[in-house]
Amino acid sequence: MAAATHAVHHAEIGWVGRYIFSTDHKMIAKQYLLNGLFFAIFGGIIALMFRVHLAVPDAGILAPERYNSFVTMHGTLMVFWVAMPILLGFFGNLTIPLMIGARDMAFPLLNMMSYWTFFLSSVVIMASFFVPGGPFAGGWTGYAPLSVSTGMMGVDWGINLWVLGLALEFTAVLMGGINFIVTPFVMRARGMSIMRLPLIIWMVVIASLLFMLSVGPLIAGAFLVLFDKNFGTHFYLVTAEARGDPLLWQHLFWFFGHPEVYVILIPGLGVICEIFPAAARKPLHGYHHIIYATIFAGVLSFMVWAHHMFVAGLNPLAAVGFSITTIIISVPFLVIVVAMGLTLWGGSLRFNAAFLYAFFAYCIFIVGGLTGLQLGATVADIQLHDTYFVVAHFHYVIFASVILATFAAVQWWFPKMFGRLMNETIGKIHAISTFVLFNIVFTPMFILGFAGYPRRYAGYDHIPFLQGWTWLNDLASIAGILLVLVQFLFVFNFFYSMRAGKKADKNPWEATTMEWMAPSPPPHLNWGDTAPVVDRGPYEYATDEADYEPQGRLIALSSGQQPVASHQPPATGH
Amino acid sequence: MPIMPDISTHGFWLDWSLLIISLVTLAVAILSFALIIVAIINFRQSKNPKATRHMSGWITRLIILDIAMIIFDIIIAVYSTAGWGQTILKSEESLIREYGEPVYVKVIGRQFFWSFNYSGADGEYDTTDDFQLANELIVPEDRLVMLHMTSGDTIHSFFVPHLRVKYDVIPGRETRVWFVAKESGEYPSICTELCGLGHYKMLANVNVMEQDAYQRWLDTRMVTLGAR
Repeated sequence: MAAATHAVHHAEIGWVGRYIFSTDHKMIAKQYLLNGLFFAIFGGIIALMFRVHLAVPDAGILAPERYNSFVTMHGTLMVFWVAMPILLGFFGNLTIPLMIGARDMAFPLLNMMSYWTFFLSSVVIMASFFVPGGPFAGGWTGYAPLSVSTGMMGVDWGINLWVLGLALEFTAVLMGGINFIVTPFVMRARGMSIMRLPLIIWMVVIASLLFMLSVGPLIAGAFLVLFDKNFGTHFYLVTAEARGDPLLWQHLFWFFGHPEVYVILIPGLGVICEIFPAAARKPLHGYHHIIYATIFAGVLSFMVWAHHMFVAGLNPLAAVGFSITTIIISVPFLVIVVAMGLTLWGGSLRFNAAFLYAFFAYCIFIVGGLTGLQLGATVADIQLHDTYFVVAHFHYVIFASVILATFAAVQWWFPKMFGRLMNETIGKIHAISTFVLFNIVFTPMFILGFAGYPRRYAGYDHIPFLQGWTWLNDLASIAGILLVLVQFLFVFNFFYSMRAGKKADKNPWEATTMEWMAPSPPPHLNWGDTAPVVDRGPYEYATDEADYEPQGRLIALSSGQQPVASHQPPATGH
Repeated sequence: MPIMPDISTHGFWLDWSLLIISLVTLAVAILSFALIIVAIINFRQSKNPKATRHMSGWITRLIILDIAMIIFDIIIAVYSTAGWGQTILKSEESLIREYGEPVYVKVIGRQFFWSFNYSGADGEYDTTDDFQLANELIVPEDRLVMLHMTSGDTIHSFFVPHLRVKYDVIPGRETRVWFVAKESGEYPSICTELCGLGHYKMLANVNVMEQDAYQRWLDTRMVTLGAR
């Protein structure tokens, strides 16, 4: 039976195998995306609720204990249940096999397990909203000893579920990460050398490596939280009987926390690097420079963690060293940002919605990067630490990469998921309104930070010296509420276009990378009876011969040669 | 600048650091966005239908930019390290040499109030003339004030915006901050490390008195204690 061995005609895969327990990387990518979008909406609504509370504190929308929980869960969900599944799970799964010319991930079953472990972690963290005492309320950074004590925080089971949820989520990302690292190294199509990999692949690989190297200490530390909370140990807890060390948690958390910020930043920059050349119709400038700069920034990210702790009781002398490494990080990011800007310069820009998203992400990231300098300078940080300035700074960094780059990626790769195009007009309106409203929300927060507005406060009305600036905070609240509401334009566009969008052909953007050689949407195992061959770099636009030259082509498989799901021979030569 | 007026002797280090970095980054941002706007206007498809594949000289420009960034980084690092050395890092001995004998106060943060412990007339703690104030720190102006801080439960952070003082208060450890207030008056202090439900209500008042008034207050305090 030829059909039985012919993996392309997967008639035997049932509905459950196709849509639920699927090992197909594209389906897993969609599962990750939908799960991430669910939490993005949920986390957005939580933010909306506490901003409404801050705008009208007397209306009784949130009790103070709910306020702390909601601020905590907004941060936790947005970083670990939105950014991680979308920027690694979705980007990595969708792009890696298609862009390197593979038929699937190196370990498809592990990939499926990765998503379902992630799903389990989602259930656990959602359950924490329904347990007595409510969800965790110790800040997304979970500073001990507040986080280990029911008595101090007023949360009981929420702590355990927070730690368990995180542990499961990290396990899921680690399982996915093994795929993201191994697949690009062993399953590239013929001719796809390492230095011909599209940048998004590089970025996902570097991000996965950073995550893998940094997560260990945090998991260990998080379990010590469980021990302190439930079994009476004193790793962090200080009582009359025994003295733990509260700073230990901060070191463990931020040793992971800073690389983690780059884990959810770098893939977003990768999306910008994919869309800019295609929109500008010219090659990406400084391909090698961007890769080396990213690796340099990634290595440095392990040496900066205590910049979160300048006034936290760290030895003040150590702060000097961490300040210097932090300030040095501006250099690689300058290289990356300038390379992206030079990609636009001299181009022939096509203002489609995906480009608008990527372009706004780029603009916002520049501001986010520059404002890191104030916080990295030890002495200036005394005034700004734990104020709204910090909130504004990291939203400028993370909103660019997590939210806007995700919109860009979804708009861009929608044809490869659903075979249709997303609506351009709704996309443009959504991009512009999101960009404008985002700036109205977070620019005031820089100013509020200078004034000393502290973060994580359930109310500001009783603090006289802040009253002169309350109107700015109100402005941020009102714009913030609108910002959450306009996101439903995207949700509508997503589901509407999934059903009724314009049918897309293979390469609607006239882009060069390999995924645009596959049909839209690509079938199971992607390439059918053909095999991809790569013969040039990823961004060959505006060459002497043509407007663009695809990175590779598909060749028919010789008779008797069967396409296989995995264990494709590694690429050789150029 | 929306920053609160500075009444400390060390605050100018912070303010200048903030001002310099903010102005330079603002200039960089304005320049970048000007170039970006020029790019998107000049290089839109309708105006520039054919993209230029090769751009010469950009590596040189990138290297120049990098060198400019590195120089700016060095300025920030040197300036802020100097400021750090003059504020948080400064040793007690050199402070005493500069400002004379300090006023010591022990600060204890608890959910959700501050207590400020004074050693009384004998200058020693754990004696009968110790006294403490809740949510009110009274200090003299133009004198060195050393706060030795610890926490009774979880981590708090003692922030006095006008004094440019912010430092975490940690259970099981003692942290130290100092300041010299130049102007008398009442200044707010807030907690800036999430410490639980009442975090946002954990306020205290820093009352900077003229030296005579401070001495009078201290003497009355002693008399009351003696009478008790």
